[in-house]
Amino acid sequence: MSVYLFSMDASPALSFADDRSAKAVAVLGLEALKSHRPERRDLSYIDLRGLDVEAGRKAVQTLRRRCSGSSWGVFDPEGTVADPAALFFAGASDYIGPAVIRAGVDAARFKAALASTRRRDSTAEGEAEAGSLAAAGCADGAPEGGFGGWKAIRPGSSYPFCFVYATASSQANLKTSLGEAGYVAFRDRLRHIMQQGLAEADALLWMETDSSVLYLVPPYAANASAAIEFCLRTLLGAPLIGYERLCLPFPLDFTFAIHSGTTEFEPPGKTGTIVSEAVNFSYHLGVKRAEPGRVTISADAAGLAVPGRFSDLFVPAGSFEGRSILHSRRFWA
Amino acid sequence: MRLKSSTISLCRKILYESLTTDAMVRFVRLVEPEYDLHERSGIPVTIPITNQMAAERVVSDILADGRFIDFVEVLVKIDAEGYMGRSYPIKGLGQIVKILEQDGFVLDRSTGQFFENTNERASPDWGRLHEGDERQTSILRLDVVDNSALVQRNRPECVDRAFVALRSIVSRAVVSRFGRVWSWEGDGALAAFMLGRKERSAVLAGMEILNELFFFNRSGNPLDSPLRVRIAAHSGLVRYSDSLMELLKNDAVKDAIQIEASATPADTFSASSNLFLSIDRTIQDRFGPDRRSPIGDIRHYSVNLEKA
Repeated sequence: MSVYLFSMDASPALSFADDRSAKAVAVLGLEALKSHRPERRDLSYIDLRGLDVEAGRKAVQTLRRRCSGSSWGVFDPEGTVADPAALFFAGASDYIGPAVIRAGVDAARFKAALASTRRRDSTAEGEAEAGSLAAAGCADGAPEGGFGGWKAIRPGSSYPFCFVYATASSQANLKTSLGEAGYVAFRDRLRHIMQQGLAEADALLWMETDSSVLYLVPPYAANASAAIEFCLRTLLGAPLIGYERLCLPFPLDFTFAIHSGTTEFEPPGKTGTIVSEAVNFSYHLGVKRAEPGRVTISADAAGLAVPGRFSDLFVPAGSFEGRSILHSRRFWA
Repeated sequence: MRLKSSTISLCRKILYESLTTDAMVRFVRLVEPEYDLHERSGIPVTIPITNQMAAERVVSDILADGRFIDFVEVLVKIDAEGYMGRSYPIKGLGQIVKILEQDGFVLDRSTGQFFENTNERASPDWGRLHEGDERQTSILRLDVVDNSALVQRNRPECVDRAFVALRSIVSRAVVSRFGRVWSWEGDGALAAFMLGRKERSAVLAGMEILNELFFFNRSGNPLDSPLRVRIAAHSGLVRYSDSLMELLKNDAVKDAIQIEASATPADTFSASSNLFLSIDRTIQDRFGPDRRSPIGDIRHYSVNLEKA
């Protein structure tokens, strides 16, 4: 995380609560704002001192444009902004007015600003990202507006989705260990558990083979992150699920693979004719690359599905079929 | 437990139509080993007691002693499995089970025990224990690490929200496994499992609480630092009481508290070795090796992540 302050004054007289907080802020001239390219977790401020109302308004607009994917705020030591709330309506994450500056600014302030952005991202930005995915769907012939819910979905049309591939395995062959009837009962119970767990993600069980399932998740950040939380919870709780809910006398491993992309939609059970690069990739990722005990996710899906609170659980895992992938760190006893 | 007179009549009828006097007494003794029909009825041993009279006396004694549910559990088991190699079909027993279910109990077929329907209520005595009842019990003790510092550093409403969430996590993990949360002090909880697969339930509940806190600390925690706990589980004889002070006098409860306080690091669940006797290897393998504690051997569980 970096904190930038764009100011007319190269050494603005700002009060910080401590030296660490002061050093954390990089002060740059206003001219640097036009070429500013912040990272997603950076925080950028504009110092309004020395700018008249019109120049200040333009500077805020420029900052807002340059920080479309990151957090930004306004330093206003002289209290020239008449309506600070309007800044938040425009997407600002922070407003540091005279009272705050007098009290001293510290690192906790910046963390709080970033946290508020993250919270907002989990709802509003999710829809924005879905919008961009939906736009991609439109290009491939999806109905105008992209995915509009399961009730509005039209078979034969293309939509953007998040794909969740899942399979359960054990060191012993499950079918041999449980017998044919036992395996059927096991699959029924497991399906029930997954349906319950993925209900919050509004997922649809789309394809099912003898040993794996593929869920479609609506292409919104809130849904995708709910799905990934379910996957992580399942991996951590695998011993409890296997022993207590599935009554298995041996350890059970889960494997998850997640990808996002566009595919033609057909109802479950009528998917035999679908030819989709995204579906193929999801299956290949799950079957050929994903490992038991991990969630393996394409970089395309990670941007949508991995919220900041889980980002440290994922590490790069190279590439697969030309796409960068990440996988989750394993839980161990 | 209070039963309607029609239910009492039904019980008597079921008993005298299905069992002889000797069988009735034998089965009552499975619940009350010292039961003596002649002594309780005041009829001399030399005078035979008819089935009807025996059934009337047995039902009235069982109710007076507060052992009705235990007795029905015995009858359900005998009806299903027989006794000492002989079959004892008990006609109409299903009606009694239904009546108990209407009274808020659920028969768990896997353990053959009646539990309160937790959708309706979750009494500390499971709706069936009495003051002084002594049972093998698994105790789960939880303590919040550095509670005072948390309270000082955070706004009261944030602390309240965090503790409400923690209580909810603990209650879900305990009550869903037929356990009861006996007390919530300022910074800790005491829960007990007296019925069903109590050792297994205590161990799984402790694991679930730590697993849930892992996610709570990442998504719902309003505090400025992770909410950390120490959990301990131990098993032993506990004499039930409605008074928390009396419960705390039980050695098993004291031992659980001592394991938590003296042998459990933060973010860790310690389970004493006596809990593992009835637990499958699948779960045992999630725990570390045996460690010494002042109470005996214990094993630790914690949520660990592979290094990045």
